[in-house]
Amino acid sequence: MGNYFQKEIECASREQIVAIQNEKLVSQVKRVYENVPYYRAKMDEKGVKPEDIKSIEDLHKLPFLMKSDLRDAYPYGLLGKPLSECVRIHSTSGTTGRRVVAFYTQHDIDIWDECCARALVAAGASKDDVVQVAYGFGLFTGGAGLNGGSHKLGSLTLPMSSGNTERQIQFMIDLNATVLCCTPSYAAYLSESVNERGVKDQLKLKAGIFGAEAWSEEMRKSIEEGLGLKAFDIYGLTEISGPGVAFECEEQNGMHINEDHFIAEIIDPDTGEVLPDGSVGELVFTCIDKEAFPLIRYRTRDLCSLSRVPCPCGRTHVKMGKLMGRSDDMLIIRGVNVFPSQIETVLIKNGYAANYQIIVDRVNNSDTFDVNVEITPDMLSDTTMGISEREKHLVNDLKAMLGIKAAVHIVEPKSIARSEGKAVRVIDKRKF
Amino acid sequence: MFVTQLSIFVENRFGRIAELTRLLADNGIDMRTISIADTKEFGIVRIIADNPDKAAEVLTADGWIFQKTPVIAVVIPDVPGGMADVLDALTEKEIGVEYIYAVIAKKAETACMIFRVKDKHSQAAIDVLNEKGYTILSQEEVNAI
Repeated sequence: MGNYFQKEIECASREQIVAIQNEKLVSQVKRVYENVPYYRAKMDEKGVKPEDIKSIEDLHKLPFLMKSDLRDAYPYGLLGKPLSECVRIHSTSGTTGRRVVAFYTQHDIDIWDECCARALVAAGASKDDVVQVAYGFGLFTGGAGLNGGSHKLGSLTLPMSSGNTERQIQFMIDLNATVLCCTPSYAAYLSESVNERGVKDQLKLKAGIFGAEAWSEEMRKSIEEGLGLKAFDIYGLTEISGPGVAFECEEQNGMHINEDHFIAEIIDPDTGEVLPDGSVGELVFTCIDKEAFPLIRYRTRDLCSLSRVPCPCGRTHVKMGKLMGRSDDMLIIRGVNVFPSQIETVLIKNGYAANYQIIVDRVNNSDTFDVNVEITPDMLSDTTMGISEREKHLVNDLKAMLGIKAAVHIVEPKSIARSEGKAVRVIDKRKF
Repeated sequence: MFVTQLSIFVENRFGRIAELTRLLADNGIDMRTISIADTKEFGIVRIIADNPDKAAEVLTADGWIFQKTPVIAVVIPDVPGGMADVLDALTEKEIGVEYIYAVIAKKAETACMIFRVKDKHSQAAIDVLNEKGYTILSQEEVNAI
């Protein structure tokens, strides 16, 4: 049993949680129907009235919202409150098309901060900790979310934002940071840099909260070892609020979803049918507490499963498993489904750093599949044959994992574009 | 007695070797010899520098990936059969050679060749060459050529 930020809610009984959800869902649907014409039209089209929603049992009757709806309704079409009552805007990184903007009232910010504070406490933080927030600040929700959570908890907050690695490491050492929050790819980069400089023994880090990207267990181990901390996953998305929608506890085997604010469902991405706990499918969220941007049944495109197996940490909120990828991040190469995380797994299992880039193109009507891997000192040999052997070995392992052959290219260190927030893992040049 | 070779990974990209050698030059490092093994995509640049430790520091600081490889510097007569005799001596002992390249010599009668054999054969190679009367050079002696 660990510490909790809000024990009465985090460890509430299933009956209590359902009661909270029922009450909040019913009033939320009513509010949205009245205030959001875009969603009202969707409900009318499906023939659902607010009074049809009497409890969470009726959730499945409501229409979905997709990313395309957010684009169609851009920028104000899904607002649930007058702009005069909104206090902030955040926006998605826009890697997959048009940006999405999300609005927040002060109440929305407060519950978001609360969710992040729960995540920090679950990772072992208290008001006595120094929390280094190395997520980007600005429109991106990463920095703002953990910054808010850390303030709410009363920890000493270092709002570093991402980048300027030299200064990150300097402050981490000089100001005794104990908790690090950033993307897993930046954590891996920091870990590399710390070890290059030989200063790991000067760090006081005990925990890291790393999210906004899918990452593998292997990557977790390598970051934990490299920085000497325990690494916790956190999940969130701008559309729903930001990081902290779900977070990992000390068990490190799934993320508790803050069910007093968000109802999660897993659906079959093809049919839209709700799947039972344990099945892998697309994660769907309903915001039952948010005012400014109250999305209902929003399809995240993230693939995972839900588990209600009691957690030894004492928290009763449902857990989501590690992301299996995004249904829109999945590449189909020569007819085979490929997730970037599979490539990462192969690299780390072979003892390499997870610095890679996938390049897919179509030449003469057939897909080309290239994987660039940055060389590390361990991979080096003084003969070209030695390095070619390693390339061949990786080709074989990737083939075993994916079922198709990739051309592996070993490239110079730091030659793969690394935005210090999110790594550019996939370049798909195919035109369909 | 071994000489330290720096084996540096270099992507097969225009201007990259120029950048590498300029870096060493700017830091006052003298190359005694250089040899390159290349493939379509990358190469291994092998360098014997007058000060391998300093060269290593400079390369690390600039982010190059390299390793230090022990190699053998052998003085051989610059006459027909000079090289064949050395190789015969090694072959007799079943020692294979990974690669060979030359050090630029200022004296005319002899040549200095760098030999790389498998690590497990290193000592045996030195023994047989000594036995046959070849001179094996130290780092300082290579620097002085």
